[in-house]
Amino acid sequence: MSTKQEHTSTNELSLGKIDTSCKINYNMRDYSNDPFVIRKGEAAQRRLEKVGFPKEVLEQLGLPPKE
Amino acid sequence: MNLERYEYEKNATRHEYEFYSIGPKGPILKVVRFDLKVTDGVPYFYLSFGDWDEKEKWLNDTIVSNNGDAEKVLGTVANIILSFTEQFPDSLVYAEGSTMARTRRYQMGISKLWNEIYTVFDVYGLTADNRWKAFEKNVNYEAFLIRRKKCNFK
Repeated sequence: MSTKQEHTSTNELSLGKIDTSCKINYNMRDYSNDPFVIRKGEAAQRRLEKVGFPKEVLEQLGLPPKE
Repeated sequence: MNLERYEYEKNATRHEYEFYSIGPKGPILKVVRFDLKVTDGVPYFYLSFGDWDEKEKWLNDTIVSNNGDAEKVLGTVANIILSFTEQFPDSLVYAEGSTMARTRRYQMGISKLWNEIYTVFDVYGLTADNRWKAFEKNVNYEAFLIRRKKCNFK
């Protein structure tokens, strides 16, 4: 397994430091064609085509609300 | 959000994360993946979170692991979302469970961590009448959209 320690990363938020450091694994299995991942993508697309997005998100992107 | 979490690894694209749940059932490989999609001109990443099924050689999120570490797993997934949105700060993350029960678990997880989450993220929940509302505890949702608050960037 080929891994590399990425630089220590912390998020300084109101509740203190949050450590999000982790290793990069260059040999990780590619799950992009996993049936589960594909099904999740199709479900997300179907749902969002039907219901659209929150108006706050659309406003920020300068897009009109879904009819 | 200083929750107990497992160490995790990400792949070189930083879109895929792996960690092991450790408990009475032994080590269970958990995978979190973010995939980019565009719907109606809006780019977003949909989240896939499941267990690697070594026998079937695919991911599965219908398995109930019962490995006695649900809170630590949840803390790890929350930390991964934080890590991902740190690298892609403008990203919108979409999440829904494969079953209603699984979506409820996500909802309970968000509720449990809400005091921490709301300081970092804007969270929208999709109600049964197909409306996006700002997340509130004790309301049932069918899906979630998560976006990092601008004011909390480093």
